[in-house]
Amino acid sequence: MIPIGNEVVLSIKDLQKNYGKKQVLDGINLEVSKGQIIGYIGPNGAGKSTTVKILLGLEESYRGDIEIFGKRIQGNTEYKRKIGYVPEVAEMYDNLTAYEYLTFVGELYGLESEVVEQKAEKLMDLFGLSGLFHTRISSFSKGMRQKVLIISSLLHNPDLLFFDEPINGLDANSVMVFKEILSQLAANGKTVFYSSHIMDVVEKISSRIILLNGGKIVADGSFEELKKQNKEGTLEEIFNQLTGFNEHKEIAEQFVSVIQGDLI
Amino acid sequence: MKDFQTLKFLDMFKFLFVKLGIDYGVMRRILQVKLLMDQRRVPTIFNQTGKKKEKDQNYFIKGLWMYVLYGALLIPFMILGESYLFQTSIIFGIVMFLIMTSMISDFSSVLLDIRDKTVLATKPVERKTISMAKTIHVCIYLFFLSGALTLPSIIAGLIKHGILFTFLFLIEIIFIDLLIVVLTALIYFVILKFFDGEKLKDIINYVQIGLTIALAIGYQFVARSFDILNLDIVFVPSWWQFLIPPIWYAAPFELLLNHNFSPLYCFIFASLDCPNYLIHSLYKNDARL
Ligand SMILES: Nc1ncnc2c1ncn2[C@@H]1O[C@H](COP(=O)(O)OP(=O)(O)O)[C@@H](O)[C@H]1O
Ligand SMILES: [Mg+2]
Repeated sequence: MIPIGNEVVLSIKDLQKNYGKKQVLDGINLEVSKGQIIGYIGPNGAGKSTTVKILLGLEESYRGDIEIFGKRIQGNTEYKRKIGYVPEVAEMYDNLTAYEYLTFVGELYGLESEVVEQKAEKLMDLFGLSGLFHTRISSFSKGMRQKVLIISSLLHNPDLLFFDEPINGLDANSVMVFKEILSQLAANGKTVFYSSHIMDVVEKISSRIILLNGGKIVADGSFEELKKQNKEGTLEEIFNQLTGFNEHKEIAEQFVSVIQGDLI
Repeated sequence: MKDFQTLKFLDMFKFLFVKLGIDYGVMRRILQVKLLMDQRRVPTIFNQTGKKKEKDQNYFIKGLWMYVLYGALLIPFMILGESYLFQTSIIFGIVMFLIMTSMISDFSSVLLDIRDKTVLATKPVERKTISMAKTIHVCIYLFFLSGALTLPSIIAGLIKHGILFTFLFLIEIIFIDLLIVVLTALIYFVILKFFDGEKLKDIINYVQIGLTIALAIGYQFVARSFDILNLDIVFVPSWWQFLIPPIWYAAPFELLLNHNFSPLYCFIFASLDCPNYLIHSLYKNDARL
């Protein structure tokens, strides 16, 4: 076992982000230590993906200080060598075969072509994609693409992982494998930043849960801590409570009546 | 993975890229993947539904003969007479028009791939290297396109007007390509600056329409710069001709070959300076490219 200290791998100070006039992130402060699995949750449009994109250097106009591995990320590309990323939207060069795509990505991370090739094929086999190594990604189903993306984010043995809704499209068995991979990686000193709206998975795997609402962090702690503070059973219920949401029945009723033709 | 002749040729200039501080290995790898994907891209005219060919074939190279055919239509302008300014500005005008429209319509999806951001920008690759890979990618297309388009006129010019003319013609084509690269980059830059990926396709359509209209009108001006009545082609210089790129590029022919030292012909320098100026202003804020 690799000892897990209090080493801070990611620190965000007063992060603010606007899209036009709309303020998406309004002062995020966060320190993530090595070996943590952060469950980053929040309603649709809360700004989860935006945060992750900023951390990857994909969004440039923001205010605040971000340090990854102790260095400011602005104007820096080197830190990406030790980072893995699964984007929310499965954007990849899908007219390549899995082999072509994965070796390409591996080489961008500075790995030897032969090494990546072996590694990638083995990972594909283990993840239930055996025999598809030389098939074009464009013919893959959503879940299969997602698996290729997950593999591509891990090829270079990164220390910090950003997963944005990584299990979209994965079947139940693959989700189990994936959850187990995450906890074993964390046990080996990797840090995982897991952004999702699927509560029960987050509840099970996260060592720390961060709830984002209205551009601010409204809850931060382990599942047990959140449970104590909120006297609710599941993360889903805590989520409803903290986001001040309790009218799901009324909304559903109105929704169904609109479908059936009552325009109020 | 498949290697490309084009890239082997590029290897000869490796030292240049290294000098510019570019990670040549990574740039080459990006280009290799891009060219491979281009091979698999089927242009809309060839798109036969249902038939899925797994075998790679380069539709781009195969489509080049169309451009050679267009190029052949330029031969009459080339051999018409000795009025270089008129002839070459017509040819350059048509060449620029065809290249610009095909760069923007057929290749925008290639040259402006929104997936690049997620795939490339999240990797430890310097922005410089990515930008250079994209620029070279554009240049490769441009090289083949303009080569195919001008090949017939170059041969005709060589026969009719001799070596010096042909040499000048080739140099001018290179400058025209330079201007087109910069203009294309500028157009994309402006589009990306104000619109995001989703709206891009619509915008590109508008740009295409706009460009077609603009060039058609501009073309009228080129033709009108000359008094073609009685087939007595006389160039009547006036200020607005400074604004017409094909004339910039045609001017050196008149200057050097017909020894016409009218001060107006000095606006060839505009042609040399314009891309330069644009490049500088572009690189200053290329944060998004
Ligand atoms: N490129 C963009 N332009 C304008 N608004 C955006 C853009 N990307 C995201 N937004 C807005 O920012 C907010 C947060 O989006 P996002 O981070 O994707 O939310 P989520 O938490 O669901 O991942 C949303 O309201 C979305 O409409
Ligand atoms: Mg999201």
